[in-house]
Amino acid sequence: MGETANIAEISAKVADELFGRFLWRTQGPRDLNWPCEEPEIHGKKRKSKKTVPAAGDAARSAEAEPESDVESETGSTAPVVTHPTDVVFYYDEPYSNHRTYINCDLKSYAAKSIQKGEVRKAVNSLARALTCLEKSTTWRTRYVANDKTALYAGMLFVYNHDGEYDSQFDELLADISLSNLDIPRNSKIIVLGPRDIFWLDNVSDHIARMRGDGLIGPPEQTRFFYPPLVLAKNVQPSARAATTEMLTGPWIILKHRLPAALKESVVVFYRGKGEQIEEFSLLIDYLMFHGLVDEGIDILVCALMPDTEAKALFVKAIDDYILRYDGGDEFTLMLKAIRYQSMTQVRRAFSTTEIGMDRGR
Amino acid sequence: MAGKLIFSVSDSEIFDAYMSAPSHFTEKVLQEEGRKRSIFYSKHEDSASLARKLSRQVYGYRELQPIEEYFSQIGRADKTSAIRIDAALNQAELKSIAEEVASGAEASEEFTSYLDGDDLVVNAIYTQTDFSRNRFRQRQQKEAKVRFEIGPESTTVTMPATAKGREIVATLRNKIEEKRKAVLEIQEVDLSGIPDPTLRTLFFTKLASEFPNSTLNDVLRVKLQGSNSSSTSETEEENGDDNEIDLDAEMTKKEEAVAGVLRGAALSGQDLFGTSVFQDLRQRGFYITSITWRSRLQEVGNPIVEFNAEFEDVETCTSFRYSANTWKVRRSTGEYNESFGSIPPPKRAELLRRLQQFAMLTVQSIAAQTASAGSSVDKSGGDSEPS
Repeated sequence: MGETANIAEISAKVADELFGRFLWRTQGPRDLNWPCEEPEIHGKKRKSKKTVPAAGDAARSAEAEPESDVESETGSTAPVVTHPTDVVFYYDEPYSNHRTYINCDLKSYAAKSIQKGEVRKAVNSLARALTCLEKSTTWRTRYVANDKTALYAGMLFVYNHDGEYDSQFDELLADISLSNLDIPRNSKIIVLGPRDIFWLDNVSDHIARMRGDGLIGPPEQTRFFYPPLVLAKNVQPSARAATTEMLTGPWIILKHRLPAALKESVVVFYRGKGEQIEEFSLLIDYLMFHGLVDEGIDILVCALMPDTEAKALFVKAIDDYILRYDGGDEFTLMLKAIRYQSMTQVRRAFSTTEIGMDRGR
Repeated sequence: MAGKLIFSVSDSEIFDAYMSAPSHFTEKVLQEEGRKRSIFYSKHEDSASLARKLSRQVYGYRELQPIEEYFSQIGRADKTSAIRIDAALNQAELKSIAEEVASGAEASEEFTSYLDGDDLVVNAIYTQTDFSRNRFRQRQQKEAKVRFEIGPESTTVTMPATAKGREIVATLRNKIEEKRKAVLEIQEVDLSGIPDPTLRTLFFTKLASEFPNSTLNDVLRVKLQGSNSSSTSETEEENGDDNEIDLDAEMTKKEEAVAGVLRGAALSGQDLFGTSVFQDLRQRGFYITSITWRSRLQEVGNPIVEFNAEFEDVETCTSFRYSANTWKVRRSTGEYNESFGSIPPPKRAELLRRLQQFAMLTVQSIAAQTASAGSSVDKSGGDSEPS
């Protein structure tokens, strides 16, 4: 029960205080298992590293365990196979008329417990859940609305509760074999490690504080920015939330309208360190190309833990761009008006205990 | 306010970049691109689907760098060209001239020179712009390394077979001539004085089959050019041979039959010299202008090297250029690797030097053969004539 309480605590914080700021919504109950649709595949016994005796179920069961996320009811001869769901988020896609549902697996580990085996196991578990959830009446009844075509994703959220994890989480991901990972076509799995969560939490906190200070408009006057693309010109009006691609990308752009303001303002959360002028040149060009630099539009670029020279490089990149673009005085003033600031660091405790190690995933 | 792209890229450009190099941006590589962004896509997605998904994402400097890097690497795989200056030059003289040229280089170029043993190397790093190409190929940082191999009586100058390489060499050559107040005598691999298609083809077949210390392993690609009427008439006049005239007349008839359709041909496959289509084209008066072949070297491990040699100007057979970029070596078990890999730079430089020297000797031998034979050139070719 303690574990369940911890999951409820972390899922509430993650949903309301983190992804809620990115305009993700939650649907259905939290922290519930649902029946597997392919028990003959997902419920098969995984061979132990030890030699399994040639005959005898009892002997095998002593040395084998149900594969990954399989959970069996105690005392039952045939295991009841289920998949877990901690929380389901959804948002509307910007470039297609789809709604993405994210089946989330929340983990909270101490630094020393974040091991590649655990991460690999959790990602494989999510992949298996993805193959079942589209077919699962239970899952769809609980979590999917019928007004839009659904896309499905899994998200592994690996929170480090002691704040001491400083290794390269990417290296753990690199250990996952893509050929063995059976994700259904058009689905995906997103893995957010401690650094991703730290970054997103800071962005989320900054949005909250700016909103509290009256510098960002209310949520209903807020949307994340998706430019019309060459190969996908129509941006869906309902797509206001940050997609998983935006959250894991090099910057997050928020557009908002302050009360009584004529035009929307822009806040760019820049993830890079700002160690090279080219980083900012490219960002400025992106803003220019997509029509965000315009008269009356306030643009603020916020960076987390940037390089000590980042601000100077940002100013230099603006000056350099003005020279290259040669757009006249009005254009120069608009570019010079782009503001740059460092964000104040925060580290929030989503959970203070271990979640995930003994959940059999 | 939306304007011209200076640095950033559109989704379409990203998509094109991924799709334009399928052998590099394989499904596995595209999956890895997703993984770098902490996103695992389905292994059931094909390349186009993955490229579409990736192209819709935001590309910052860190994300664009590997793509830029890949396309700039492609640009570096230039062919090599060479000239021989028949004059005794010395390092100090060349170094001083190179420094003079460097001081007058454009601000957008990085121009350096240094001594390398007995050689002098002049290196220019510059940006090549071509707006007709894929965005990643529009602006490429390129390198033109020109090497002066100084000998007692002559100096061989190797350069990338690019406009920039030739421009640098021409500038340096002009400066030397200004200083010396004399015109330098230049030797090049050049068949402009040998219009006979059979002899032009002979040059390439000798190059491939008689490359020193090697055996011909295979001929993979051949480009042929139809000989023009002037070269035919010259041959007729020079030969004054009734049979040849008849043969040429027959050839002209066949050419007329395909006039306007077939001026050049490119063949690819295996053992091309033995194919009937090659023999037929050769008999029609087509001559080789480009050849890609593999030679098994007679040295430790017997590596199989893939060479290419060609004339940039296929009509006049001038601006000779060549390359040796890949080879297949043996594993410790003695078997050859399944695929060809890059040749290490020192070995590549050695092979290119040997190829250039052999090409020069071959041209000289054919020119000598032509001169000594006068109008009675044996049209059946030499020992290396493919049959």
